[in-house]
Amino acid sequence: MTADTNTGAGKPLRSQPTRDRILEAARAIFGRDGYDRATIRAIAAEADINPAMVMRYYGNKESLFAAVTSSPVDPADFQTVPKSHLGESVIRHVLEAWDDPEKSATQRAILLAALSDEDARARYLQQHQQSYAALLERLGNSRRSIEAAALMSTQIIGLLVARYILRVPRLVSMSREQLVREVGETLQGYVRIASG
Amino acid sequence: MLAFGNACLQSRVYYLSNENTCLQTCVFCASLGSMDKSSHATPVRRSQPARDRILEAARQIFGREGYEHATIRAIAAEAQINASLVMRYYGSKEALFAAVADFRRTDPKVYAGTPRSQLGEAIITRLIGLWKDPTIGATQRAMLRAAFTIESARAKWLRYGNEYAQLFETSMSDPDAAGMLSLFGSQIIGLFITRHILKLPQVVDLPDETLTREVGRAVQAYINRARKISTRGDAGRSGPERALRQANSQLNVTKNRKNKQK
Repeated sequence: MTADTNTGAGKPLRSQPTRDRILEAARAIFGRDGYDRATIRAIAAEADINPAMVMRYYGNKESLFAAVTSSPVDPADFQTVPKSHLGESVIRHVLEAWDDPEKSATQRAILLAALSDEDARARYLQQHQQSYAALLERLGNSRRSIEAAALMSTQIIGLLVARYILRVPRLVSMSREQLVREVGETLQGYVRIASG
Repeated sequence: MLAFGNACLQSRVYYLSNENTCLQTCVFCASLGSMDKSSHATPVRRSQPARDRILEAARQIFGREGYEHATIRAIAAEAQINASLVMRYYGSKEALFAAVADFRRTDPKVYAGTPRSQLGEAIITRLIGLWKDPTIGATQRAMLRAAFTIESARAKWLRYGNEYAQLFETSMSDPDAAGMLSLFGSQIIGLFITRHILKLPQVVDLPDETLTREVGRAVQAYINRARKISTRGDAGRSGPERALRQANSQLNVTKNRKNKQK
């Protein structure tokens, strides 16, 4: 290896396909094994690349994990939604991300890691604060809005754990439309607290 | 008495007896080397305080570290007991976890006398109280975390959900009613996780009264919808069909119990 360990903007063209392959493999392995059990070796094998190469591009498991992680909610997503439909809109948005085969394995790995590892929990809280802020921007910043958003997150995270991690049979088989309707109603009940 | 190298039929643990005298206690029933079933009913437990200390330590460690990260060594250290003694009493990490994993403290049967329209609030009020208890809270955390990665622990949670179906008298064979009940479960699990595992600051800050009122109302709505679907289902069926369905669901309950005993 040369002294040039700048793996970022240095030679993007040549390394980009390799990086993409590593990221794709990392998504698959983190999604399958969870953060704790995933190994650089397994990711390298999945990408059909030497483990040393993975280390060179991403340094360690943690930064590789961070690279496949991105916040799922953009504040702009909810700005135009009428408050009367906010419950349904939020859960639809979340389920779309989680049902997307490309994103779901990563999302699942992030949540699973946060539930079992203190460092991962800290990372998750940061990501959650962003989603939270996005919601509050729409709900307003009163005490009641803060309570409403907190209550919403109890149902959203509960549904994600039950459907994608515990794989409760009837929640796995339930259509997205039915989930949006039923859970949307619960979330809308919480939205109403914000409106007073 | 167990002869050298024989196994207790119940625990399948081998006893190494010394000069034809079994000095070991059965890790499951604590009877002194006996294979006689009747003696399992009245265990001799001189070691009870040590066992209790191990169980309490196991709850804390499993709750904090999760099943996979927990080690017998860490549990022994927490209990301030030699690790070999932990192994002697409980045999393995699996057996120790099985002794800790216990839904009895959150058994839904306690709501039997509660009016159906107040079940939501009653359940949330009771659960948020129970979860604050250090022992119960740690046990629940350990059990839920184990369910994420271990199939048998996951199956235990799913069966636990069915017990609520019996309480609400909703039919789990109707997919829509079962769906509502599963959503009910998702809200409760979500409350537990956000408050006691992820510890989301905003959720931790929510006053108990707000949780009881608002989450109570939300879960009551799921209960109501599940019951409504169940009655609609039954009304549309003829008498014999209904009887057959009830018999089937009874059969499932028995099956579940048998599975549990295995």
